[in-house]
Amino acid sequence: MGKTGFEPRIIVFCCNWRAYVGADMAGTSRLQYSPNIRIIRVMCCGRMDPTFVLSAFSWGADGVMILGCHPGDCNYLKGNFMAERRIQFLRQALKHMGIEEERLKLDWVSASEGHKFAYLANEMVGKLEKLGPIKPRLEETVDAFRTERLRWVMGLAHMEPKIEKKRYFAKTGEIMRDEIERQTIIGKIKEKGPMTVRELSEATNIATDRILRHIIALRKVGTISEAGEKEDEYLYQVM
Amino acid sequence: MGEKPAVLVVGGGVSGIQASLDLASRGIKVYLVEKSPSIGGRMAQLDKTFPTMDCSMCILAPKMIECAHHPNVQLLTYSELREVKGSVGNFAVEVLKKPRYVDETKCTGCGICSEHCPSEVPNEFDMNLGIRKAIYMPFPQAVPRVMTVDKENCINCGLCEKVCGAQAVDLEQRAEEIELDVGSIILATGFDLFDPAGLPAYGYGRYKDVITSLELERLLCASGPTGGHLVRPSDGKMPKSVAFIQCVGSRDKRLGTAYCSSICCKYSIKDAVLIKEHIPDARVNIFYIDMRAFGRGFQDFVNRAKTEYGISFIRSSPGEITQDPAEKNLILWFEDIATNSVQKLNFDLVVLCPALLPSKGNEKLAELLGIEVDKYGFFKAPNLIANPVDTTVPGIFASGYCLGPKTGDIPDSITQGSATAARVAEVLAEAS
Amino acid sequence: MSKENRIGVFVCHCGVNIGSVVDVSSVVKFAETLPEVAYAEENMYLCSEAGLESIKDAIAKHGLNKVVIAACTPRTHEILLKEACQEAGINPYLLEIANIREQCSWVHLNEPKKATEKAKDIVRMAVEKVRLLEPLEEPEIGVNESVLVVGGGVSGLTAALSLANQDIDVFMIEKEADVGGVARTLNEVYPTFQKASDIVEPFIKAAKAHKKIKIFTSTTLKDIKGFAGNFHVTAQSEKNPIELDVGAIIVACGAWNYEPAKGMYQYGVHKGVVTHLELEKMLREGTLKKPERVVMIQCVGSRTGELWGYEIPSLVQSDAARLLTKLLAKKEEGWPHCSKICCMNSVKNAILIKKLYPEADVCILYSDLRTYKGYEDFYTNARDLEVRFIKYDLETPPKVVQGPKGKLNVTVYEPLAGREIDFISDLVVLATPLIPSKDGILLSRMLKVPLAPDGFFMEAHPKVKPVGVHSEGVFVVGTASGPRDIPESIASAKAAAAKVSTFISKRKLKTEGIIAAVDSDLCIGCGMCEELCPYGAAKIEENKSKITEVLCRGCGICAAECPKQAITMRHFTDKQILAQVRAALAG
Repeated sequence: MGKTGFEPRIIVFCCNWRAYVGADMAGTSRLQYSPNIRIIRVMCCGRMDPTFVLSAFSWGADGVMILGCHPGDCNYLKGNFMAERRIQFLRQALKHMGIEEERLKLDWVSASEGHKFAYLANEMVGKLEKLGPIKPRLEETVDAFRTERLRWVMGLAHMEPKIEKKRYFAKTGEIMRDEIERQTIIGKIKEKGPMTVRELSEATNIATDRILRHIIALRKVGTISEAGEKEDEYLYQVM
Repeated sequence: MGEKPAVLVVGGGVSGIQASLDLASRGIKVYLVEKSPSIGGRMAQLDKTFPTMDCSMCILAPKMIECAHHPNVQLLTYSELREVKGSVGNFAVEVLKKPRYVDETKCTGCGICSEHCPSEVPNEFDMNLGIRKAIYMPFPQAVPRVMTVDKENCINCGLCEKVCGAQAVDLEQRAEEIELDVGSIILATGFDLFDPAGLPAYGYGRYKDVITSLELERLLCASGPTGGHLVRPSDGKMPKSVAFIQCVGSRDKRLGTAYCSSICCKYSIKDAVLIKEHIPDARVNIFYIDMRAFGRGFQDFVNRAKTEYGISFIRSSPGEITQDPAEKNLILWFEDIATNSVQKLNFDLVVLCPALLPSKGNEKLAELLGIEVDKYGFFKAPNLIANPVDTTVPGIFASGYCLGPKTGDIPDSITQGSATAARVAEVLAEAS
Repeated sequence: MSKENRIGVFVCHCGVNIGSVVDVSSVVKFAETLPEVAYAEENMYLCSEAGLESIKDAIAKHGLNKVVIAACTPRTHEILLKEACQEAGINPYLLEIANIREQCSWVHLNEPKKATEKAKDIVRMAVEKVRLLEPLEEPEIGVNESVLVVGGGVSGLTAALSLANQDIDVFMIEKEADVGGVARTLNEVYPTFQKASDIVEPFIKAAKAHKKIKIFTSTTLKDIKGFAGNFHVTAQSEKNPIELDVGAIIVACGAWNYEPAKGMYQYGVHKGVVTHLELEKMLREGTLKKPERVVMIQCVGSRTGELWGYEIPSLVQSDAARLLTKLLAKKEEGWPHCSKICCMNSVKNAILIKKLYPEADVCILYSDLRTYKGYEDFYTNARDLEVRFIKYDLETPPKVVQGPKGKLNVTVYEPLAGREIDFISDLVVLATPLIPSKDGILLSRMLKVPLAPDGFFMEAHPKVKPVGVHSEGVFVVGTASGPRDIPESIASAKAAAAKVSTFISKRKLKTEGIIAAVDSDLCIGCGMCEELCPYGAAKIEENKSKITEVLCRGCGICAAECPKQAITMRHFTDKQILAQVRAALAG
């Protein structure tokens, strides 16, 4: 229990074969830890879609942990490597959204490591008590991670030998920022109805020329179109 | 009775297209070489043409399609001239076909690859205002109707290859060296715009709302990035006050562009009228030194612009453009010759009409071909009056703006295109 | 129109394990308020006969069609509870277990209020998931009843004969001109000094004569398609292509013997330096001339160098070319594993040489003398014959240079004595390890079966599944899965034969319910799933992803990566997991 009375809420995704068993082991050994965590079982941490993590944050989780098998030990051979790469990718987005790095943790717990599980739970609670509750709204980032463009580019992280690495890393940052901003724009229009470039800029804190650039891109694929005029500006609606 | 020799046309703008069609319809084989992925040139980028306000692409597209289908025209797009040997009647030419990483014989131009490509790039055809992908077609009416991969921006993810229904993507494609034997060569390489960043007082590059006339064309064009809705690039606002500044970089001895580019006054009136049609309550001012709206129908054009559209013509060469930090509007400072004082006016958008320069590749081409250029870099016609389309080397001709501003406008370019075709036919008849 | 959910929630006291910390009654009351919960009850011991009856009764009485059981970890009684549900007419995949013991009451013993709140959250999470669960089937597919054995060495022959004797059809593919493998080139083996040929020849004869075994020699494998129970194999013999349909595959392609790099201990430079395999040949053919001094050096090219392990994380997907390059690179670097059999082999050869030429001085330079499995007497036997054993440290290996009169000069630092010893020797024998073979690597790519960090085939589980691999229907025997001696190889081959015959006798294979499913309308054929599936279960056919259900193990990597979110993981769908997340944060 934090001094401020703030009780962090933590979601822990455990893989069925090792981490979940490790959590059970903590129970069997009667190790005690803070009751702030809620465990969700998945077959493999490789199942972790970034939208699960982002949704958790956007719905109020102050911290998220993903626990899988130790490297080399994955029941499905390489699910944990996949998860690691994916989370690395996701972390860039979290930076954009102003979410502190410590709120997301990826770690390895074997079936016999009840102690480690309890330790990680308590450690996370302690960290979050210091950081305080999570602030930003994140639905648009979740939506960005549902777009084909961002998901395809994320998957490419696993295909190292084939892609043009330098350009890939340079483009990834751009693409992530673009897609998050675009989903923010779409989200705002859906929320408030047709908006002008300046209104969107004020509502989203994105510079007007960037908004215009996104509008140009989105109208090209038919997501957005003009919806009349408002004084000396065009209104844009979501199709 | 030997086979007629073929002709090489370098440059796929309207001038080169016209020359090609004329020659082809006389039964002469034409190789049309164009360095960009599609023919069409500058005319394809325009919205409407002066003084008749015809839709530019509507006039051009049928000619482009004819080129594509004509049995005597072979299009070599995304290609460049590498080497030339020989003489009139017998030129041995080497053309480098750059790899577009797409098999032209299989690609149907459906565009599905482009939809899925994750890599976005500013679209050069839209003067970098619009967006294209690393695999792209420069504009929807492109000829040939195939996609091209811009390897510089491609991350090699291979998604285009996977979604292509025709299996036309070939990321291993190599450049091709094509050797041709031609009897004559026509150059129709057009022009490039003077970069207004060379005149820092106007703030081009510093202020997003100071744009060139070609950028304005793209914004006005219904097939442009904003669908023809005129908005200013900084914030998407409809510009309610627009200034045109003539002679940006032209008639300037310091910059080496002492000539008058000949068409800017005309097109600025056209663009001013278009703006008024889009935004009837906009205030439009044209700042000019001399209003060179010459030729048939143009004085009428000027009069209509003043009376019917309320466009104001201010005789002055503006000194500087600054920005109001609060409102973000542009402030244009100019000398009012009438009152002999320095004035300023606010504008939402400023359009610069830059000098038209010889195409960037002209110097190299001249060297390759051994022809002379004039002091401005345009191809020299040694016998300017009698043989206006000849160059200094027999058998090599030029047409369109690459000859310089003496080519006034589109009708001039088309006329010259046909003229060169005629010259070529003569010369080939002599040589055989 | 989907049927209405009628969820039953059963909360267990588990004696005092849960009941003494969590207020079970209030959890039950809370459960009753949750959407679509038609019934909730508490019980002392749900896993008891009475408890299970109570569940079944409630299902019948209240027309329940989905069940949530809040009790101990699913890992104890999930199967029991699933059966109970099935007996009551509910598809076993419509059961969700809420863990309120190991992950609640036992870890919050001193915070009963918070534990109770947490238990309620856990029940709510389970209810939200179960609302979205779909009944799943475990379809069966037919199994082809013949077997392919790749490799005709002693392991392959053993497996083939064992199966054939159980009346199972066996096809054997052997790349050399005749079967028999490495055993044919060996001399006498430890500990019995039997001739290797005496052991393997009867196998060869029997296999060739057996009606149920068809042997293809001078044949190499080209491709393997399909999956467990239904493999389609393409091979190429000298003249003809061969196509086979089999139900199971036994990999018996053996291992390579490490060949030292030229110059290593003067190997390839001086003809007096040989590997122990070459020595076997000399002994077998009787071409060993009387040596004055034989020096055997153990651990040449083993217990050194790096694992080629996880530098390539997706081992299954790494292409053959890269792996083969690594294989070659290891020639200089050496291999990190201990090859187990070389110490015994050298001691055996030392004894043989001493018996042939009693005056010869035989020295074994060893790092750790691994006369394993109670072959200690072997070692004492050798010492009795005056074979000299000299220890060296791996960090300071012996040096071999050209010596006087065309002989070799061997120097070694002996740590026990603390000094350097010098030998003049006319025969230096390098004990080199068994290493992964090129055939094994290519085969692992073809079968989409991973290699372990040491380069040999990765066993499904080194303890409980030593002959299986991560793919169903494929078994690895003999030295292909690591250094082994002949009896061990034979044992592994028989074990695999037993497993295969069980596999085949079932005639049908049940697939798991928790597998991937593709929405073809969304799929754009980008191939990400095919790239990443560890089991080769996802393939692009006609521009759409197709999942081979029997190969899918339900890891969910494809679902997490699909750019169009076109793939669902049954029983762990995006919606189901997100419903649990929402429910966890709803309180």
